[in-house]
Amino acid sequence: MKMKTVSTMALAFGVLFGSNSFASAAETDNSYFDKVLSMQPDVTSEELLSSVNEISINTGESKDAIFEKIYQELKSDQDKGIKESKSLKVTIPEKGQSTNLEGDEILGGSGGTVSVGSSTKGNFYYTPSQTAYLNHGHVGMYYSSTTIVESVPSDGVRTISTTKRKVDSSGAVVKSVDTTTAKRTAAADWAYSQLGESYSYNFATNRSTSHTGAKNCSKLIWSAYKLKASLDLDVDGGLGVYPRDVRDASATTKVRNI
Amino acid sequence: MKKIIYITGILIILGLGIYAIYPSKANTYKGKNTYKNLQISKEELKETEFLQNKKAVVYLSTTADQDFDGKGASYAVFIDNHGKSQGLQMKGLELGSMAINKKNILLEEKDRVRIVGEDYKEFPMSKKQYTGEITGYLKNKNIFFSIYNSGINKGSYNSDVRFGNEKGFKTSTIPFYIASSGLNKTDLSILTHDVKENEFNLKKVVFNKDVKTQQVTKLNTQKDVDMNALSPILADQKYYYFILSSTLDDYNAKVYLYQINKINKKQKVFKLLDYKDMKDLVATDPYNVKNSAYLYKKELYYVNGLGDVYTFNTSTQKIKKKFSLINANQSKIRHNEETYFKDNYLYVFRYNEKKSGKYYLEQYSLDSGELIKSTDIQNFDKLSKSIRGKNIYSYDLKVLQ
Repeated sequence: MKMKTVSTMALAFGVLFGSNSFASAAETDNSYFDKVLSMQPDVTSEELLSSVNEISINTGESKDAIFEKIYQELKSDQDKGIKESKSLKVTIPEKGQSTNLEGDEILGGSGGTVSVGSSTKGNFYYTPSQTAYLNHGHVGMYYSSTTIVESVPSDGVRTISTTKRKVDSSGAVVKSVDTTTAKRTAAADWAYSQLGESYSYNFATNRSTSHTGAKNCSKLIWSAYKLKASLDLDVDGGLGVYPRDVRDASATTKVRNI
Repeated sequence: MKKIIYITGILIILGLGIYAIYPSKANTYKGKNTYKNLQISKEELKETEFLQNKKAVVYLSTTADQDFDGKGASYAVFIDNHGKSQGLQMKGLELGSMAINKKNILLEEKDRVRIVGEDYKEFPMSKKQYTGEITGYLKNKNIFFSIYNSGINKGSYNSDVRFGNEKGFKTSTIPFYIASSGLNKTDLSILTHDVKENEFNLKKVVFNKDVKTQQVTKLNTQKDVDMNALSPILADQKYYYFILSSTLDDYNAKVYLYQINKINKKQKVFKLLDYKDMKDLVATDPYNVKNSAYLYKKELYYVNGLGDVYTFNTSTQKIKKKFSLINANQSKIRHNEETYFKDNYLYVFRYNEKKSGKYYLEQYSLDSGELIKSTDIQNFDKLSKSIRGKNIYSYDLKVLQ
């Protein structure tokens, strides 16, 4: 009986205190497919598989290799988001000083808010934001100097006034795209033509999904410039285009901090 | 006996285990534990005298992009006569607002409306909304209403409407994108914006069994100039008024007051402000464009983001800076600042890092421009940061008494 008690207690101990190491062990056993799905919980396994199948057929790469690439890209974007949120500085107006905030404080809204403000048609804004479960950031495009067109999880592609669109004041920027005014205008017009399309949670393979239909915020801007200006606004290529990929694309120039 | 010792041992280990694994999470989940006593309970909310000691309410919400997990949140933060805050957490609704009548206040969220006060009622709404536009109370019809910027549906723009009272709520749709709106007694007006054609139209909204719009006039604006609404639509017996800005570049903008005759529909445009070489043009935008202007004693009041209060005399058409808020922040960075005009006062909900509670409510006289009263607000700062992993922003202020 004594032995039974001790062994049951030991098992309970193991379950509780060893749960982290168990999870780690389980994690390493998981396929990249499961890892990618767990990082994008609103993307269905069918959706992900179908997309990877198509990429595999087009590129000749194995599905396993593609899943690994997707995972590495998601992880890299996640790490970048965490690093940036830890290093953001905010200005306290009354003190006129900058101060560092920890990640959780930033996500709790300690740094103040600001309207995105006006800018030139075809420009876009970036704001650090939890989008689709990870700190992917968020991007929206200026359809006109006073109207934003953007894809958001609830509404899909929508418009909103630049004075009414509030974002966190830390780390948000307006950027322009290095191309002709005509191409910027055409890209913004195309983005506007997507109004009403639903939101897609799939960032992982959104470079290869259709330009029309459901799309997320970075896909909207990336497709607009890909189709109307033959520009690839994705800093690192890969299989997915994330908001920070658009922000950091080489063909973009910072206009101002928001 | 051995069995009892055995079970007790297991329970102790389980308890220790849970404590060892989860304490850090429990401490950082501010919304659930640290600020539990700042939440309004359902029982309190349903008390008929709930509003009796409440001075003001601030509405805050996450933006639509933060609703990725369906957990976007909003808060109605009630501030009592002593400056103490208590919050009612609801689901998110970007740009949501509140409406009041003599007895009740209408609170809205993504999938629900509530009437809080003497006649507590709540109504689940089957269609979810994510972006608000205007909320109000029509005394002549005894109905509350709310209009939303709902987006494109089957190729045409939809601004959905919820309207009703304690007996029930109905829904309808207005087929326009709305740039600005305003309720003047029983007259609800909207300024619709065809973004593609860059064309503005002033319309009336009429509530009967259904909701219909009536054309007032098309605005004489230049097609190649982008305009932004900076005020609600106001009206006196003769005219409609509203304020639009035209941004020339990142440093220069002009702000215009539109006056439209209700009878002959003639339009007059007055240059209200001319911002030149501004370091921070965004800082000039009002704290809340929905609550930035007011008509009082034949003067139209407009408070901008720099804390300056301008007046337009509706008889003489003279424009002047009447007064300024004391030590107004000149930065574009906001901390939930809000304005609200009521009777002969301008109320300003403000932020100061140096104050212990950080937030305070000021009351300025419209007649003299003097600061009449300032009340420090307690615990608002804590509530505004209590949604872990999400940012909530203020979208409305109502002063109840």
